[in-house]
Amino acid sequence: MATKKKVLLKVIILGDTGVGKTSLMNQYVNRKFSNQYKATIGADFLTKEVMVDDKIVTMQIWDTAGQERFQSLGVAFYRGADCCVLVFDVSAHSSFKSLDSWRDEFLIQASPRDPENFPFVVLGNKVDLEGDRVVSSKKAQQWCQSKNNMPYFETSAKEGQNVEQAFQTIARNALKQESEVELYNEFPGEIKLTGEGSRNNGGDNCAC
Amino acid sequence: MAQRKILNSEPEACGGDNGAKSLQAQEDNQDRIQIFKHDAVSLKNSKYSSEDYTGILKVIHYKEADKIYIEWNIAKISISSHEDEWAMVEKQDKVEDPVRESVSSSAASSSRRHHRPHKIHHSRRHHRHKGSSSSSEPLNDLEKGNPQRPSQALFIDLYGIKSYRVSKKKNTVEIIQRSGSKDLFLFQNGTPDTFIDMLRSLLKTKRAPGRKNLYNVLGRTTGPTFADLNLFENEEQPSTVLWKFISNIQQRPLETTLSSFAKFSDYMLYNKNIEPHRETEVAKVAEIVNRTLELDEDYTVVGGKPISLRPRPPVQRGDPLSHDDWYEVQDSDGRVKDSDKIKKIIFRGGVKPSLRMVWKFLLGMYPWDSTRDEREDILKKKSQEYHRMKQQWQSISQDQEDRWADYSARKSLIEKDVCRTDRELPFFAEDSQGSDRNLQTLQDILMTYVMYNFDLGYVQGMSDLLSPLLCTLQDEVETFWCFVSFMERTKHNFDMDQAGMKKQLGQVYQTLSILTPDLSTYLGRVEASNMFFCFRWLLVLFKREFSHDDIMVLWEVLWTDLPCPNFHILICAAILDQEKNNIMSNDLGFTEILKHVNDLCRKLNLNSILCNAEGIYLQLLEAKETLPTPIKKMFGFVPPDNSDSSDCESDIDNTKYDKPSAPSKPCAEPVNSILEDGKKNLKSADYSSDSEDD
Repeated sequence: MATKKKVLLKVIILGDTGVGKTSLMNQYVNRKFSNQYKATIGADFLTKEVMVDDKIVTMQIWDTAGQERFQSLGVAFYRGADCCVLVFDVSAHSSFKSLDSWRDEFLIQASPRDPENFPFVVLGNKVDLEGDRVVSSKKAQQWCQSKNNMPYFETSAKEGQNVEQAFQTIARNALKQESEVELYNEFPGEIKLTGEGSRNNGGDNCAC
Repeated sequence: MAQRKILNSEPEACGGDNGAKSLQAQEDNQDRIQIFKHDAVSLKNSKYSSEDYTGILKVIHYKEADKIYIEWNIAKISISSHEDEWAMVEKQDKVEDPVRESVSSSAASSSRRHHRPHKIHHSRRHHRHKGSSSSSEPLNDLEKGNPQRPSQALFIDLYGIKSYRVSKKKNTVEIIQRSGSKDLFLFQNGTPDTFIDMLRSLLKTKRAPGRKNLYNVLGRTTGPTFADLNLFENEEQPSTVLWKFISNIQQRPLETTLSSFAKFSDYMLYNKNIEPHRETEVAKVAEIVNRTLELDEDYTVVGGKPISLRPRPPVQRGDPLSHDDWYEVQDSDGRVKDSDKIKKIIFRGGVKPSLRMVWKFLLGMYPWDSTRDEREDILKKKSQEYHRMKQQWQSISQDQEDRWADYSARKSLIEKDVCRTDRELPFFAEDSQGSDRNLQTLQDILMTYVMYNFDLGYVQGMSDLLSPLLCTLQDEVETFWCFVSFMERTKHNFDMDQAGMKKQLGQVYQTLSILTPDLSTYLGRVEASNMFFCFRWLLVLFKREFSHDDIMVLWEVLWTDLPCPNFHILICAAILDQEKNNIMSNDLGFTEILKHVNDLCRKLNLNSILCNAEGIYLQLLEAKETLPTPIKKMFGFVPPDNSDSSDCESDIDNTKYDKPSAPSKPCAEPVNSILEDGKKNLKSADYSSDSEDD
């Protein structure tokens, strides 16, 4: 990469319907919260320029529909993602339980080069509803640790709590991912072989 | 990766995966001219028939060697075989799986392994076993440049192709080489149309007799057009063959007929030298050809010469249906005597807001020819039925619900969406006492609909479709039944596998490729031919794009089923046509088009869009003989496949629909009563309207 490029970081927000994906995105980008968001249909994104370690990067934050039926659309939008944000609602246990499948689904559909190390950030949203909380901070943290130590933030899109901090981390991790991909692109012929595949790597693989 | 393009400012039109970047340098070499490129094409070939790989398909002309190669380079390992863009969600909505594993540290990796290991396993072994023998020069080049690459690449000598097979349905092209090797390319990101056009421009081809979608290669093309194709096997005059064929048509068995038709339709499409005086006859025969070919589901006309449409005729909107209009057509018992006239007026101008109870007729809750008394009876019955179903879910206890995940999931989705449906409308705002009665009704209707159609249940978007009905009709029972009718029309938008949405997105693209081929080609080039940016438009029938007042007019217009089936596809086409310059002159990529389209929300002028959509319809109608079969079917220029209505004329004459010829006469003319048999159903292609200006 001879010339210095402007960096665009593509971030995908996933999570069950109604956990606050659109609200988080709008709170972060526009510093606004509305009670009148509609259920997201299809996909949309907002962009924001941010400083990450003295570097100006543009974040392109993608908001998608939460109902699983619409995930089949995802592939078109997940492609080229640099970071994936998994959101659940601390007052809805089912949305926490779904994180696993959101993560899996993302990895399957986006098929990043190095799935083991692809950056995820987990947000437990709606902490302003403390009285209704059913997923404890500890439980969420434990799960994140078990998944390759994903960073975890407790946020309130409504009150803006922790949103900025969370997205700073998202940006930083996305940037790291982006640089690795760029580096990787210098050696395009190579295909990373993992798991069972790598065992077959040494032998005579030529089928001709 | 196309998104990345916006800022990367690379020279390439569409960013690709790694493979594309590495090849870029080599293509700067003056010897190599890239004729064609398409990202996200996966390969299936005869040797590893169970394996799929995703890569970039290019066609490169090596000037010095005067060779053209179809080159395919692996970009990444594909994850799902035939539905990459639309990866199937295999299970039902996840909430429906109550025993789903919750937290498992190995879940992600094991699931991934489950999907991909064998593919990774083979990726290195996938060598250039096809076509490599005949492609030494470019291959050597490549090998020098990048020793790793060829192991994941495939080269096919264009002039070594024996035939190719196209499946438009599956978006695949199978290349069969003279050596017998077969390679199947799956275009995950759109249609193979541009690829096929390219093949046709380089190779003389001929449809294989009796084989659908199989094209034999006869040799190189000598010119850029197909005019010089010799499509007839013998040396007879094409016209002789043509007329002989017509005389035999009734005696021949189906297969022979089809094979002749296939030849014939090629001739029609690609031969520009049809004698002028034969043109009308030819057009008539083309009609027969196309109708017969409908027997063959897979049949589509591939490529074809560009269809020239006349300039768009000006169209004007009219006045909304008034009380006078409405009462004028009713007899003393309250029967609507002239529903065609009513529909025409509504198509042209909508309905006066205070008269929107006509929706109950338009949507089919009440038959047009029912008397007031009959309607009372219907309402009574419908009311009982509604309350019976409402009672069903209302009697489910929390305890029961806890053991009924499917139900509970539907309920929870509804609750989440109801409270965020059109809350900006005063109708759904809380009153001073904090009561949200109308919101509650919205929820009750959706819950009852779950009982009415549990399999479909509730899908996001349905509350958007229901809201204007409730705001307008207000009565819970009537709103429910009108919603049921509306869902009948739109239920395929909510298919579990999204088949209905896919189909419509494809239809929009097909329509554009006739209407404005430069735009469809452009969209193909920037990998936007999947038309995903129209998803929201189609899913909730433009509900999010227009104001509350406008959407009611738009839906009324659509419910008339005039002037043709699938008029909403023409609305999409009209909007995109209007935005064409914005898209093309600003060189927008897929991501930017999506943004641009999303940002059109509430900025669109409904009347001008409806006029344009109708104008497009008239353009297509005028050229209907020359249109490809799928387009004809889409807009009812030929009878629908499963002709379910006996009253549907075999040869639908769309001129029956009232053309808005003179701006001074915007309103529909009265219709005569040829088709006025009271059997109007809501199915499309039932052209209830008729008569030229009489």
